[in-house]
Amino acid sequence: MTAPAFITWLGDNETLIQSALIFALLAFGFQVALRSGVYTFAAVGCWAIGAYVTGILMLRGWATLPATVVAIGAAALVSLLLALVLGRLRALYLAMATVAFDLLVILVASTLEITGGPTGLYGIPLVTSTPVLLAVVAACALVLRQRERGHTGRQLEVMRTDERLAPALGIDVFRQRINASVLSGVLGALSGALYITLVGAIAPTQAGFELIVTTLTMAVIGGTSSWAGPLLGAFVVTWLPEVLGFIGDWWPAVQGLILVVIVIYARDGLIGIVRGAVRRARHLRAARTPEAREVPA
Amino acid sequence: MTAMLTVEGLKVHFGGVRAVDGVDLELEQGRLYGLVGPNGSGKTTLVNAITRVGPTTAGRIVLEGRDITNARGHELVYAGLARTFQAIRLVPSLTVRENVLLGRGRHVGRGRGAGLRGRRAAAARAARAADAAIEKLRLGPVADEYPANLPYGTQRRVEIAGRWPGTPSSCSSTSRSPG
Repeated sequence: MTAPAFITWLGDNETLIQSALIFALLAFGFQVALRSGVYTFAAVGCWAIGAYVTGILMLRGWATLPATVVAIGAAALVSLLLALVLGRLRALYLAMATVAFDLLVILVASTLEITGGPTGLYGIPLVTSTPVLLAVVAACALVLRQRERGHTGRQLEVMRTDERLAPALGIDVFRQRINASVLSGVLGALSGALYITLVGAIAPTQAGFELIVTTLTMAVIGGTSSWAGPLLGAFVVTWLPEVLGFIGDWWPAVQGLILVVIVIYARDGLIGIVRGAVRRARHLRAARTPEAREVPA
Repeated sequence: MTAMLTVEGLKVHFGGVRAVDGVDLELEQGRLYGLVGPNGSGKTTLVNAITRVGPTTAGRIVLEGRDITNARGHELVYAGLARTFQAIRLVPSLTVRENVLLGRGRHVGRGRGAGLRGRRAAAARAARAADAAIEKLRLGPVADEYPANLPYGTQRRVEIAGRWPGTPSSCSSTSRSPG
């Protein structure tokens, strides 16, 4: 592909790229929690909070940045309160409770007048561009990467694999779980705020159960062990329906099928498959090198 | 006297069951102690209560003059009390060295105000302490292995290396032995 052709291709697919980046941020929100053993899906509720608060403020003449900051702050506060209330819940029970929270946020949004009821909000200034999205996703990926490495990475790995062991190693589980929950909510809100300034409108139905399932699919298909998983997953799940245009209405069924296959045969998602391939290649090379050295000697 | 760890009237009751009922202990520095008793006599419950893993009904636990009765589990590590578990608990997805490093958390993060350089220095200190513990327990040759590839006894040594002094002042452990 020549350079001009590539630019044309980018232009043709800009909407898809933007959509995938927005989803990637939300999927980051799921991954950052799952990676620490916190099964919260509250990021979707925070996505709605981020979008609505930003929208409401901007319709009242606020500038983009302060509106976004307030929206994220609101979502962080809600995440903190939710994490404190649900502090004792684990695994499936926490997942259920946070899904209920997501649905509650939508219910409130579709009832209140300030959120535009069932119609939602529209006419918000379109200020988000692809470079902004790229920069935000890159910055968030860097934060997530930092959490996966070194001392913090090892601590979170203990929380994920054996929560009872964690205190014996000096890990404040309560605090770390709250940190993960709030970070998850902030990422969700950031995604929502960028979404509404990219599309200019939001309706309550957009943050429903379907969004939870789609985002979870992205995180799981990509792999939850690393930040690269949700990023890859977001692009795959956004792009596949385009590439597989001929299957049309069957897409949800195919998406479900892919999810089942990944969960059964590749627990670590696409990232796990890539890592496995790299490791095998390295082993092969390592196995060949000593012989290659011995021959000339 | 010079008791390092003092336990006074420790009780752990589960409803009507008195698993531990008024235990007094005085452990001195530099000595190795054993706790013996038949199955179900409350050895593990006692150690769990002391290390704040399990509940306490009544009593007082003092470590080096500091009352730790109501301390939270993770705080004990910083106070100098480490523990291993009856069934070996290692993180399967981390190597031996990483597992040992995990027990060195107190070397890192304490110097939070020191900025990036302080954190680097703390990480280096933790790595040195971990290497010393690995050396001490003769785990050098398997430092980059994963726990699942090692025999039971070696796995136990890895667990102990993660709690090796250098910081904690006492080490309690319930070990599984037949009979």
